[in-house]
Amino acid sequence: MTDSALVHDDNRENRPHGTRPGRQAPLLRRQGALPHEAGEHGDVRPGDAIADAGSPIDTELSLLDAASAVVKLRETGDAARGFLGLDPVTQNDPLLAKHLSRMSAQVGQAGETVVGWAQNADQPRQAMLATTSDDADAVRAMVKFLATYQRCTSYVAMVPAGAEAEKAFTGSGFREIGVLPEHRYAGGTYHDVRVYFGRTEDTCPA
Amino acid sequence: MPRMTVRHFTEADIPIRSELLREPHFQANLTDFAVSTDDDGLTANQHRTIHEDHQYKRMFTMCGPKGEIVGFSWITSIDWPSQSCELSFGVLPRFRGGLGAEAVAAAHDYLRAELNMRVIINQVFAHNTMLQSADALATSRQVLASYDTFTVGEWRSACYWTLTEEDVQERQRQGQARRQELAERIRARVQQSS
Repeated sequence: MTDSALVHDDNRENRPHGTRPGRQAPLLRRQGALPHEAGEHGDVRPGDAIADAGSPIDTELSLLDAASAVVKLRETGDAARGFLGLDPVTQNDPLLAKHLSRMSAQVGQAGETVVGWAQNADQPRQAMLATTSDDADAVRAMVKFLATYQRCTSYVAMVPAGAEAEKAFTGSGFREIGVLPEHRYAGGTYHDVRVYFGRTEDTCPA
Repeated sequence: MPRMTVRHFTEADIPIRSELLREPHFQANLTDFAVSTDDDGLTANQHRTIHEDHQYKRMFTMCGPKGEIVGFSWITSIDWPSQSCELSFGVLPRFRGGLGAEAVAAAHDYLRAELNMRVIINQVFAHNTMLQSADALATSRQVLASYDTFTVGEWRSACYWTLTEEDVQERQRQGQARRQELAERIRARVQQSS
């Protein structure tokens, strides 16, 4: 069983070739998220702590069909701008749907928040994530789903600088790994996009 | 709150725009292809614009202060790398002469601020003074093309001009200066009479 808790692996480069994170070092896990596994990996590395370690994920995730996803994104307003690279201000509903389809993206709802992901076609254990609010629990619910049902182990999010979504990713254990300067245009000017990264345990035997 | 807003053209707008396409002034001033196209054809044409033609054509619905549909604007010949496009307008008959200038300004603002268009090409038939006076057209135009288009049994000359960011800023500056001058004249008159 996979826990969705994000693990930070800053020493990845120093691992022996062919080894996997999660099989070498103790994994950070959100204790309490999966009570039957509590204590299995109780050793939490200093500095890896995520904001709400210890609290359960109680946000339910429901999947939206393409038409509902587009309606939700348009209703969301400015917070949906940049969601998986989409922009309801510059793209009409059929174009939003077309882009979601091209990416094989899935949109879901976690509480009041719209979340979405597209698996990396070249590396299916990785997914690109997006969210429309600062709710870290919505991101955790999405990560848990992807770890559990898609066997994803790493996650990337490209978030417009200054967006509420940044708090959702930092609050759920993601870390900023870079900035794409002037990556998007809106409101008459260019804006930076920040790149966030997170991991979950790789359960595949070495 | 802005008096004019721009939103994406939707399926629900098709009947209203189809009616406009069949209106005599629209046909004389823009295109008369609707005369030779049945209702299904008009619907299919606009449906295709909504669903398929995004790369080179976009259509928008212009709305008034209460969200009422004032007319439509559309951009064609979109050149994304060059950031240029041609902009057209069709205003519903009951709103002509009213919100036209604001609709033009709102469309320009949207195209520049959100679609990142830098050069907007305008084409207005020389006889069409619906949005601009004949004097304004003569001042704006950079090219007058004779025999440009044949609509409703007549050859139409067309005025063409491009607007860059600098052009728009200059026009805004001139408009601001005119409004300021007018306000000062009114203020002076009020002071004289009191």
